Amino acid sequence: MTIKLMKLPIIIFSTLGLLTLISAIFPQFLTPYHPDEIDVTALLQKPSWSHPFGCDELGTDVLARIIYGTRLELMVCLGSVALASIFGIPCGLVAGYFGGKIDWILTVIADSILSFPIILFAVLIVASLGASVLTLVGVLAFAFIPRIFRLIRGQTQIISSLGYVRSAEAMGVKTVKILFMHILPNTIGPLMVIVPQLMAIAVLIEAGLSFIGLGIQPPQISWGSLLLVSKNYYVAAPWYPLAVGGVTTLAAAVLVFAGDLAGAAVNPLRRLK
Amino acid sequence: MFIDKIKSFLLTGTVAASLTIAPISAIADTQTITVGLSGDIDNFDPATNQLISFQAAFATTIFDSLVGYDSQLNIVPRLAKSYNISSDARIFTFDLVDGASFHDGSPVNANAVISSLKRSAELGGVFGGPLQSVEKFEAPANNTVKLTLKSSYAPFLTALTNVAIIAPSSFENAVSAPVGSGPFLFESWTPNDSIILNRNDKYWGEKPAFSRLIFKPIPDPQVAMTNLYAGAIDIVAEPSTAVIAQVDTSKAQVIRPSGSNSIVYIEMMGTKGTLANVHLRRALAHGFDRETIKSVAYGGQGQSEASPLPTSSFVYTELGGYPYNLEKAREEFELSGAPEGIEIGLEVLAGFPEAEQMGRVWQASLSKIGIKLNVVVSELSVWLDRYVSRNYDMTWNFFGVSPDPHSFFDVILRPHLSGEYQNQKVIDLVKEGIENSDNMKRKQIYAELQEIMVKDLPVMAVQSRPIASIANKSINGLELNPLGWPLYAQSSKSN
Amino acid sequence: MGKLAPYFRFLVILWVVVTVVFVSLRLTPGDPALLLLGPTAGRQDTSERLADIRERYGLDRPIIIQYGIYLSDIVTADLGKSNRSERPVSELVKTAAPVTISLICLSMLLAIPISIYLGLTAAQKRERPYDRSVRTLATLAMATPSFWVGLLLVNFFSIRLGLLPPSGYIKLFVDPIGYFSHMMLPVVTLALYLIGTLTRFVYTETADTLEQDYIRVSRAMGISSKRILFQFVARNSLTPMIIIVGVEVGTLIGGAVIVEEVFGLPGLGRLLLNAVLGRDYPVVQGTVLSITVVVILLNILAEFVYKLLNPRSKL
Repeated sequence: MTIKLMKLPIIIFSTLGLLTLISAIFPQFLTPYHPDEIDVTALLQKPSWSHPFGCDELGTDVLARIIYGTRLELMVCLGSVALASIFGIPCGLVAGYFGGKIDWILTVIADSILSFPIILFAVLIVASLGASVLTLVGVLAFAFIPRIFRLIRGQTQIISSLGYVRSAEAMGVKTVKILFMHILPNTIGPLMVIVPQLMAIAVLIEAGLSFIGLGIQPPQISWGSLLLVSKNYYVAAPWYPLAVGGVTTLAAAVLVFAGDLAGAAVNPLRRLK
Repeated sequence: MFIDKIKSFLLTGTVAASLTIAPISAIADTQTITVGLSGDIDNFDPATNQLISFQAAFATTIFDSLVGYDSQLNIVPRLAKSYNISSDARIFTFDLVDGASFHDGSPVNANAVISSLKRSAELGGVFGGPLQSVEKFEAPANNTVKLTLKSSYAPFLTALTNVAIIAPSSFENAVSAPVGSGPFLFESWTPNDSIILNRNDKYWGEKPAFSRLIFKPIPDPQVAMTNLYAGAIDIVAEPSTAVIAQVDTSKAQVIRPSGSNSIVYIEMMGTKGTLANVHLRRALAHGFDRETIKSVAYGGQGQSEASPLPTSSFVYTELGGYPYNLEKAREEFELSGAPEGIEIGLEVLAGFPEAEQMGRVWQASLSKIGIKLNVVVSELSVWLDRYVSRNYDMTWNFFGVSPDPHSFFDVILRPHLSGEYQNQKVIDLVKEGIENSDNMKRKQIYAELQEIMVKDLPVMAVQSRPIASIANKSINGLELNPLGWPLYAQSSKSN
Repeated sequence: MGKLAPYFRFLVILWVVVTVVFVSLRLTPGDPALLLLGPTAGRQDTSERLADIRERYGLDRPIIIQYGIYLSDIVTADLGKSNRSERPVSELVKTAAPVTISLICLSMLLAIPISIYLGLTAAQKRERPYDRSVRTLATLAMATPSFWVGLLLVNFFSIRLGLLPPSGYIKLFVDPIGYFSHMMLPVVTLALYLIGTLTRFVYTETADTLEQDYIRVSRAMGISSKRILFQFVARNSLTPMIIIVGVEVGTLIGGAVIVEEVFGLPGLGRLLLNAVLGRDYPVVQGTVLSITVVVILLNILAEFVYKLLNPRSKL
């Protein structure tokens, strides 16, 4: 791992990460405007020094709405990945370590879930349960579990065959301990690659689902619902949808890059997927 | 080598592709007019489909009624070439037009008309309800219909404008295969794609100048406009306010009616009972920033009044209402005893940005006095379900109030009167209003009713909607009536 | 179990998916009959329709019988009727399918050659500006919300330039020029994500292969690098692409739902979306089933083709 080469990207990513966290937890530090502030004199105003991204159809500062929308975005991203990990990691460990029937069953279930296009799955769930942040997080988590499962399982299989694991077994170390103390820590690397990628997928899927009305509905603020509302103003106020879409793209791209870098760091010869 | 092969492949591909990009030339087919609707229609039975967009599209095209409206909302004869009302407004006699027939060829005679009216009465609802007060349906002559009502009913004629007469042979399949007697016949419906109507060459009245009328559901108003500019459609029937404001008048024309009777309401008495306390309702009213909402959602247009009746109504009374005042709102909120931070739901129909924007403004105002407004945007069928079962705290709605003031009380208020809003005085006054044909007396009655409406607020009037349709420059003669119905049959298309 | 063993796995997956759809209806809180009935405002004879539904799906009978009815329905391709238009779901699916298939096929036809070209050449010119820009653009292509790009394209090409129609669909055999001009923007929009993903994939596969020893040896032996690239490398890198494309068909279908909505194409995506928003559950169920089954079948096909080209691989 060449630390020198990594420095600049690390700085960039840390800054962006910090900005995102602040946007989510203390958005008021980043913008003097309130996302519910209505200003009749500033309807669809062009970008200016006081409003870098202009104003929306109610005169609210667009940048402020984007910043406040970060909270729901982060909740969806982190929530779904965290939830998926809670289920995916143990299953992957078990399947990879024990193999045999249980592996086969779990793999088939995982493959079945993977065969379902995520949006179709979301559609089915929303048709039954209605659209909300919780359903969104649930659907995404469900879609991510097999991906995490597969990764952990693959890694577990490789690590299980290594010498020190075999000796631990021979010494009679409890299985649970082996799984969590010896194998799991070594899967963190590849996990660090897949997590940002999944988060990028989460951002894009949330945007897509909210846009077609199956995710977060206006007037709740998320980047997807902002994209939905702004779509009426491509002609009258193009900066509005451009700003929202641009931020979304940037966020997803940054996450993908982060995943790439993590991949390169973990194993320079590793395939970047 | 290989790369060169790929390069040449891409090159020929691009050339081939660019040859297929033909600039859109509007090869104007003057015999076909295409209209963009804001939603699809799946129920073609005029007795059960109570949606405004259904009426606006088909009441004057596929169907005829006994009497109708002209573009100024005056009552004019249609299937009934002349009519006679007894002095006590109990007996209505209609002479039908000679030689009119339904699209299936059967004649529009008194018996057919009576069957159709009886069916509407049976099915009830908004349109059939008034017919339930008919005691006797008689056909004194082959082409004469005589209706005797149980008691005087002044708005009967206006009610009849809403009742489409359909062929008795079509009763079974009225939902999917409508058979009326209007200037256009129903050809086909392809879900989410198009509804095709053809000119009725055997129409008893003035035949339309063009032979085909196609309706295309295009939910997104911006997409509809783009299609209009490109010549793919000729008329956008129900454009949103934002879109109307952005119309490029060099490419299209905005057609407005002489006035707007389309009023937006917030209906407050739902079965959930959250708003049972009148002080809470008044708090919400005082927290409703009319001016801002008018600027933001309606481009500064429309009339924002307290009375639920349109300003053009002959009984219209100007009332003070509830000016936007957060202190008063807070006072009323405390008087109501409702808990701090109470959550109140507002149901809104999808596809109406005006409603969502109004919701946002109201939400922001109410949060300042400790009320959390939840705006719930739902698709039409879901919203309609909740509306009909009145399963809501508050719901947004709009309605084209007919020239007779009773229509508001009949259509909008009635479900509340028989539900959570039990006001005997109102019930009595409404009854008086319909039984009296004397306009002076009615003015008094409805003045009192409007006052009570404002005092009790079972329904809050927002403002009139600036309605318009947008058409290609090639469309001539298209008018809208104040209810928002485009009068397609009288329009034409030139090159 | 011999040659067919790997495909048995797919059958199981198919069965699991079918069962999940069955279960999802019945796990929903509330009466499944009501869910199937949908909104009823303005309709007569609701109780009659409700009774019909209960009988048709066997909702009053033991769950095993319901499951049996469900499976036999699928096998006979009887997916029930829309609760709004009363039309058979299979008919609605059949009408909408060609549109979506066109969209996806054209997108793949566009995306695959471009990705191959970009990926291969970028790997060849590794670490040079060309490579970096290709990879950055590919990542951006992946990260952009497709519908946002789609609307930008509509705004530019349709509204401002008036070159292409903004929405709608014309059948190929009715009007080929109209067909292509209507499909152009949606296809580009949908292909964008695929181009991004596939280019990155081709790049990494090729870059890996180029590092392999036998390539170094060939170079040392003097075989031209172009020949190396396209004879050895391409073959090895591109065959896995078949599998990836199979997997990405699923993502494409998801993207198609949104693209069809934006561009007003009357395909499966739009059918599905309107059904969800309008609470037309039979259509939702039937469409989801049809699409997923097709996706699985395509994956089976992809694996089969892959094995043909690469008999030594163990999948």
